[in-house]
Order: sequence, then structure tokens, then C-alpha cells
Amino acid sequence: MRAPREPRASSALRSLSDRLAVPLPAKTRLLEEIASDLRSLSRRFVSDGLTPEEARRRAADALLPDDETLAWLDRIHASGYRRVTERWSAERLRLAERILLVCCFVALVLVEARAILAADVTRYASPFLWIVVAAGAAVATAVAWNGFTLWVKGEHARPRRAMRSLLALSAAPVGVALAGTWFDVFRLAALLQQRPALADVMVVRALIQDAAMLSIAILFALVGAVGWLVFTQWMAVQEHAHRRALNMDVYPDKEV
Amino acid sequence: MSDNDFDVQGFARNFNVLLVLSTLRERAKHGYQIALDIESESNGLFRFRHGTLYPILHRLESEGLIEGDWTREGDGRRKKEYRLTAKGRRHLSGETDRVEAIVMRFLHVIRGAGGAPA
Repeated sequence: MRAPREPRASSALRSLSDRLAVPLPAKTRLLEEIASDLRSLSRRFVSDGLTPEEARRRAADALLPDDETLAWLDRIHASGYRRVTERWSAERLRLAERILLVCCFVALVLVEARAILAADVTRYASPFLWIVVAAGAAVATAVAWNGFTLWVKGEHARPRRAMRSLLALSAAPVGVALAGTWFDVFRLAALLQQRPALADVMVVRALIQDAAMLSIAILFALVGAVGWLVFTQWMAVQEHAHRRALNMDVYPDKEV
Repeated sequence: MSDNDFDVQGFARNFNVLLVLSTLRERAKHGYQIALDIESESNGLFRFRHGTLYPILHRLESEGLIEGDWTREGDGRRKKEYRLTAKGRRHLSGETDRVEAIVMRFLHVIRGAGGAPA
């Protein structure tokens, strides 16, 4: 088996990327900008008569940011959320974010409950409907939270794990709805065994209540799946651009 | 500016901003070209070191004083080119007048009220 090919990353860019805490799209653009400037400035110094080694050294000295400059860049590219909350302690920020998360979940449950009550599907509702509603609110909250983390907080450190959790959570409403339907069918069968005369009415009611529950569950699963797709695609594009920027051959030996 | 609110450190920091804006007055340039032109036009007096050029460029861009455009080179690599905006041009003009007034007053003070150096 062939070993994976070692990327031709400039160690200077890789070190810069590791030390730079700005959000990924801005970090990638900055790396690209510095790489192209390093290359051009080195060429210029060589054409002015410097040796390639001296040209690289002078270009790096002029353009590669030191720690103080990186901290300055970090402040410039910090997300609005980070600027607003930078004076907060980590504990206070964590508490505030958890409260926000719970408020978001409760608000979504209330909005969903209101919509369901208004749609009049609760008249013959399965008891599992409310669990589906809660699971659906959890999915919608997770989608909102991931979007907030990626695009408002500008944090991309642990996206893969969060994305897998989102996908698993998206299946929860459908799982609950299927279990509820299965339970309702058995409950209906037991009822009809005792009172077969009710079959005409009860079968229709059961079909309506479970169809409504399954529809709501599928809707939430779709919300979660679409959210997962958008987030993972966006992350894949950003990571690809970042890898490409890191793999740029800043000082090709043949040229400089 | 009132006579009492002059900030010496802010004035010194503003120097780099004015150098960048002034070198973009004629045409759009890449970051390295800006650094190189400032160094050559000042006969090596002003040199950007340790990447200090980038925070200045990015801050000016976020304030709308300059605008960055990505262009593609022959080998497909992207390069960022900066150009002065109308807002940047107005800022440069106003700040140049301000710096000139401050320097004149400074020279007036250090040369003495008579104006001529010994």
C-alpha cells in the first residue's frame, strides 16, 4: 500500500495557521495573501541581486507576523460575538450560552405546540406526539446552535463531532414516531378485540393521528438533515480551501 | 482637534496608516508591493517588519478606507490587491492636512518662538 503523499506545506505557513486563532475563512484568506506576498517579495529580492537564501530571509522578516502581530490580527478578525463577550469570564459565558440554549429549546417547543394546536391534529393525538414535538424542538435547537457556533461565534474547532450528533439527533423524532405508531397499532388492536363495533371510527382516527405524528417527525428529521448537509458542505469547502492554502509551495526551489 | 486632546501615541500609530494610504494613491497594489514602495520611497526609513503590514491593511479594509480584490495569477494562485476607496482618499487628504499642521506647530515649538534654529 502506498503511503499518503506528504503535502508540500511551507512550515512557516503551517506554524502561522497553528498560532492564528481567527475564524477559518479569514485564516485561509490571510494565509493565501501572505503566501503570495512572500513568493513575490522573494522573487523581487532575487531580481535585485540577493541570493535566494537572503531573499527568503528578508521576505520572511518583512511579512511573517510575530506573536504580537498575530494577536493584533486576531483582534481585527474576531467575530462580533467574541468582541461583545470578550470581557466575560469563561464560566459566565458558558452559563449564558446554556441559558440561551434552554430558552431556544423552550421557545421552539411553545411555537411547535401552538402550531399543532392551531392545526387541530391533537383531537385524536397519540401520546407520543408530544415526545416527537420535544425531539423535534431538540433537532431545531441543535441546527440553530450549530449555525450560531459556525457563523456567529466563528468556532470551527470541533465541527465533525457536532455534525455526527446532529445527524443522530435528526433520526430521533422519526424513531419516536415509529415506536409510537407501533404502540398505537397494538393499543387499537386490543381495543377492537374487546369492541369490534368501533372498528370503522377507531381505525380512521388511528390513521389520522399516526399519519400526523409521522409527518411532523419527518419534517423535523428533514430540518436536521438539511442543516447537517449545509453545515458539512460549508465546512468541507472551508477545510479544502485551508488545506490548499497550507499546501502552497511558497518558495519553489527552481524559481527562488 | 482641540489643543488639549492631542494623543502622541495615536499620532505615531497613524503614521503607518498614512504611509499605506498614500502609497495606494496612484494605483492598486499587492501587500508586498506596498511594503516595498514605502521602504524605497522613504529611502529605507520606514520598513514594515514581522507582518505588521497585514493588521493595518485589514483594519483599513474593514473601515472601508481601502478595498481588497482577489486576482488570479497564471499558475492559478490568488493574489490580493488593495486600492484606495473614495472614503480612504478623503481620509488621507484630511489626515495629511492635520499631520502637516501638527508638525508645523511642533517645529515652531522646538525651534523657539523666533522660528529660526540656532
